[in-house]
Amino acid sequence: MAPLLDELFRYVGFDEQDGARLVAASDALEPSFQGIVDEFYVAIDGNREARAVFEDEAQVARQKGLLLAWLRRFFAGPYDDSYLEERSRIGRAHVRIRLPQRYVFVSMNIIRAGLTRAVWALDDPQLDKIALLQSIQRLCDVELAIMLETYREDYDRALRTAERLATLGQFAGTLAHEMRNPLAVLSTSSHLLRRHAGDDPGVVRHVDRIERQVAVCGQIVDDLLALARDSPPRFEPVDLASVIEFAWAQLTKPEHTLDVTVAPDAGSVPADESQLRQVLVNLMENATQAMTEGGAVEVQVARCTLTRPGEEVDAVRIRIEDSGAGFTPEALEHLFEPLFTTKARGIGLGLPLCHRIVTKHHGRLSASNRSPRGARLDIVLPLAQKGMS
Amino acid sequence: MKVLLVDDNAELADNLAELLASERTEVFAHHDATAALAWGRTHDFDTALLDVRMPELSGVELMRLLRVGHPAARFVLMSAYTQDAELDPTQDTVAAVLTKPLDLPSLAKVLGLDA
Repeated sequence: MAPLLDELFRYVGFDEQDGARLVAASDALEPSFQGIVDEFYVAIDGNREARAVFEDEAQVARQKGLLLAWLRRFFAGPYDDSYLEERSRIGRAHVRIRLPQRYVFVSMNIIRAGLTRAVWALDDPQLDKIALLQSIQRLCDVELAIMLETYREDYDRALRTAERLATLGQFAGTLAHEMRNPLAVLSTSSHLLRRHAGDDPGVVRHVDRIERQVAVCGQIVDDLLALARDSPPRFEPVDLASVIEFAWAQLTKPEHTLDVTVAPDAGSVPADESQLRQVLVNLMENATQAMTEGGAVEVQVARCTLTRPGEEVDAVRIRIEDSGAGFTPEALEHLFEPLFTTKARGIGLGLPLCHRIVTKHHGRLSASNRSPRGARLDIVLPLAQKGMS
Repeated sequence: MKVLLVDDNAELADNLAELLASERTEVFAHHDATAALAWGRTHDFDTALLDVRMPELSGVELMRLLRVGHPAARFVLMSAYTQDAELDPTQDTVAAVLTKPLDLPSLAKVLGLDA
């Protein structure tokens, strides 16, 4: 058994007898599960902040289905590593949709209360209800601990990412500068070579190649320097349609098209234009690279609400979608960590950089998969920035 | 026009010299700052194109020493490091500080060439 689960069971005092008691009560309690699920979502609906986490009714319906399955597994076992794995996955999903940690406690209380009422209502004189309730409480404690563990994982990851970015930043700065001298020689040499080549097409073709690749290296150097600089954004009103078009024009994409929709009330947002362009170039480039056969990169800009601890603010969401293979679960978990890459080429700095820029804009960058296939990146930027009227 | 060009990266110095040289422009390339300084004591030039980071003498120090004997010369600095040149605004007047890799059209423009 995984050390974490073993430790939790021992600490909470959940043993095989508890497990057996829950499994034995499973059939009798099953009819009350749907009621508990409904009650749970009535409570969420009454809370503005918790509700804001959910995008629409369809998502709520999906979540209800998931909670029902969660309750069934709670009483079905087996309480082994696969249990921990499943529960951790659910916890990570909460972290991903940014459900504030405190709601985990409130939610668990709703479940506890619902299950307590359901157990009391059972009509079975043979049943030791106190013992069953104790087993339920113990497993609820284990569940809570697993959930909190996923939040801790997330916090650790954010810390690690920041530390790694800082170290990498210093290194990147030195490396980038050291690259500039040889690049300067290469670009001047190719310039001279072109001069000497005359119109020999064989030579000209290779000079063209050298110059293109030198430009690619120059871009890498600029990215590394951006990483090293980490300058605070300078906010000014940015016209989104034009910055999207401008970023798109910077990409080489013979087989791809851009499909942009900008809602009339979401045309402009305060941002650092060059930083936002850098984010867009990165995300749209990933989108084109994900569609090796070509296709349309879809960009939709619309108003939305950004939920932050204790407040909701008006915001604009730039959604970038492709119809490529989408993300693996592993990729979704590590996407914004430096040096994590799924591409055969690429150093894994693009998304962490984008994430850092969006965070410095007090916004949020998130990734998910589309149905049936494709990746979706959401940049959410607040409509008001401090120090800007 | 006479251009003094100093970069400890010899290949870059030679490339730039070849690129800039023309009927109207004579380029004197040096790979170390001390030799360039000695050359400057006995020769005239209109513009100096100096790398900032060099061993022995930085481009900024070299510029200050050269300026004594060449008060009318224009100075252009180049560096691989963005905000590298620590210039003292009371004594360092430069025509430009360029970042490597150099953008050739802007270099030509700064030097007053139409290449």
